[in-house]
Amino acid sequence: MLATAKILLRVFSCVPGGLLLLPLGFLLWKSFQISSELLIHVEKYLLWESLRNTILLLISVLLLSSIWGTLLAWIISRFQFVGRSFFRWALLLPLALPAYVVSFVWLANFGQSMPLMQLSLILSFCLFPYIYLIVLESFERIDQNHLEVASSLGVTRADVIRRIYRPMLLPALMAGISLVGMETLADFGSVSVFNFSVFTTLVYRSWFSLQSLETAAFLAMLHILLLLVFVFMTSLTSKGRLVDKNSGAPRRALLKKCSTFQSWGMGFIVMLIWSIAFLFPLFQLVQWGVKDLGAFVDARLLERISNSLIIAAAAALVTLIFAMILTLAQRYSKTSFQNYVSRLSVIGYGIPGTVIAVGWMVSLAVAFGSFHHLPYVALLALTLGLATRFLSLAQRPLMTSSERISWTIEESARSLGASTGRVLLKIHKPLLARAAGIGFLFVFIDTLKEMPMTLLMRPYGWDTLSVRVYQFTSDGMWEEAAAPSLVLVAVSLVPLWFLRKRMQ
Amino acid sequence: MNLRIIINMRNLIKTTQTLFFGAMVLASAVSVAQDAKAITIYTSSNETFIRPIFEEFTKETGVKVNFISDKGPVLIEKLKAEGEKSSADVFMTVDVGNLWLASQAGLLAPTKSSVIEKNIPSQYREPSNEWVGLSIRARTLFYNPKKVKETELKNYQDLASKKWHKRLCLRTSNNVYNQSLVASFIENKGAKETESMVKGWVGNLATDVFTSDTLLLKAIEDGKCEVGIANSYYYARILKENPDFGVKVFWPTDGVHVNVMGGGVVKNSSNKKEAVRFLEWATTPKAQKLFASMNFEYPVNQAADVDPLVAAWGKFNADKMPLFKAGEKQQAAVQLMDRVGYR
Repeated sequence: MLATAKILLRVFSCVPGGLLLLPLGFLLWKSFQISSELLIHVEKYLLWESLRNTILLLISVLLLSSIWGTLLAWIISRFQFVGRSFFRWALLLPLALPAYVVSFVWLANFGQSMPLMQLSLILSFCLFPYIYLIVLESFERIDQNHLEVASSLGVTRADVIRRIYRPMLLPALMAGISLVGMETLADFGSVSVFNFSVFTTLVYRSWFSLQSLETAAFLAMLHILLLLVFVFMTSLTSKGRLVDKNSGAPRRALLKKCSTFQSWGMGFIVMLIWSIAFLFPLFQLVQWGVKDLGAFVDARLLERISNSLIIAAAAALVTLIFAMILTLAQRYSKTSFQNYVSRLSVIGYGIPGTVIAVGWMVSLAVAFGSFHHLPYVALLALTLGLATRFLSLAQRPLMTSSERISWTIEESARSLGASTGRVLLKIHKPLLARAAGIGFLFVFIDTLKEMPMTLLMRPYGWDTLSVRVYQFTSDGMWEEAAAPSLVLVAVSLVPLWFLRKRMQ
Repeated sequence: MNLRIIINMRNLIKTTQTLFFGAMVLASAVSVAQDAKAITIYTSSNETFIRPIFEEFTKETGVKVNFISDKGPVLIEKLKAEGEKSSADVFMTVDVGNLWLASQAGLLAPTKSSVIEKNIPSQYREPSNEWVGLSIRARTLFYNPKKVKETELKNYQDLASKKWHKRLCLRTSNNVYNQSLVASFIENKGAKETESMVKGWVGNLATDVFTSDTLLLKAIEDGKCEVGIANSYYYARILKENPDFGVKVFWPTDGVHVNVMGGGVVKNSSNKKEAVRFLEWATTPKAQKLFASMNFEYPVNQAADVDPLVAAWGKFNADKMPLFKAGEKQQAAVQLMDRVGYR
């Protein structure tokens, strides 16, 4: 690659990280002003329980969502059974439900006992699609030729798993796990429905109740430290493992034909998980929301829907561009500095939403004052803020696919005289297109559901669906929030539908 | 196959761009059309409730209201960060703790206004009118008449006594209304007595604390517990849906804990005249009636009417303590609740 292009790439790859430094800088500055009296109080009465709960919740959510995600991806990619092609796509639908709304559905039906267990189940059912989709993609890239060669050479089953499946699946699983983990660490909505003390609730209690943003900022820095440990651990496991020496177009593994009994069995397992994760909360929302739906369909509804779609599309596009730059930089100008930048600039996703939103707002407000009266500027600021928050959603799938692109092909192309542009266009673009689509979709849907940043940065009177949901839930009017939540789910189906076409 | 994906991607990006820029142009056009005579309000009130009131103000005065809504502490940080560049003219929030915090941070301007002073009793104002209460929220006792005789009930402190063992329901201490309730006790009775009271409450809990007053009230009806503390408007909301709701309200005779939704003029407002005009308008009987009835609360201006549903519960004696004093004790109240294990 040209030296100037490399330098440009390096410079641009620092942009997302630089943007994230604004809210982080604010937190750091605030946390220096902490009072020791409050810190001692927090340590004595609140800290350790929150830390313990956070780790317990994290581990159980990761465990459960890995099971659901991998199991479903394996069934869908390996077996031919009743309803397979529908479920292949429909298993993404739980993504359309905001986890805190689902939490309230569970609370209303099962009461508030055993919060850790309920929350682990809820979050794992809401978040497993991240793992499912990324792992599914890897399963489907496993080359039938490899499997056939292995079986003809009499390789044992354990060895097939170790030498063919593991190097393919582990990085994908880790990419999914890191997304689920970050979202779990950042979650505030669901845990507060169950009054379950974790690190995020501690940050909010320090800020809203103990009236000390300084203490909250200090705790948020500790939270980020925890997050870094987690990010480091997930990257450690996936490091240097996979090299897919493939041409990039594997021969798809054949689907196993099942007996009728097996076929229905598989269908039943998939249907069961899907029903708990999606149908059950959906039905409850319909039951609550149906009486309000009429009142909710007013003149402003279309405006809210289009606002939601606009900001989601803008955020997804910008985030995807950032992620693309990071991915290319990671590949072509890998220095240790580069490595740190790309690893650090994605942690926004693990920081509690309100904290990063306020950090972002404050750093802009100190410099420019408020600009809610300038819709153009406000939306731009909102988009960039969302991009810093959601970067890892787009970057993880891209990075996983990019690492899989073999240098051999690229070098052969170059030795035949292909320019960098041509290599990117002819080799990278087709191989990354699906991952880019997945990243775009993840950010799009999360932006639709996103609330604190949108609430804080939007122009005057600029209403979105998630803001509407907030107006009710913030005041404990959960059942009234059902109608806007349902519209939110319906709108999320639009991008999911796009993906359905591309998944086939 | 891959080619098709690329084409799809291109279309997607193109559609996105068109949508985005279209919206930008439209939004800019709207902003240009804005009236010069306008005030900006930062509020933590529910948008659905507050919007009609702002619209009424605009109808009567011709002054347009721009507003953003978020949680009180978030808006306070926003005001702080914007400083002199802030476009906010009025800050409105629920709970005296938040109002006190804003005034403490020097974000609000003292307001001299005979209209406000005539309309709002001094108990519900900051001494120099940096903030003014605009509607009253009563936090009182609720009970299940099948399990509890009205004569058994006395007041908040009594709920700490042995006879209520395993009969009490409370909402989480993360809730700001509970914090203000405890803060007002610290102000009235001192920290020591308050701490033993809260400890007694926690010991009497029949079940885990709830995350909302609505859930708490429904638990009382379901018999999971027999008595609890909640804001009256949550009760009103349930009653409106279900007139046969099996929970009754009780007003302690030695003083009912009250809190306010209130507002003040922002210190860096470039439009203080209109801001004061808004606050004065908000204290008039007509506006007070709107404020109180949007959410079944009580008007601060005694000349305004109470919603009939609320009026049916009878009158109550509000605690006489000036509210701004409770704000000051909020941090101590939260620490106290942490100490006794009130979650």
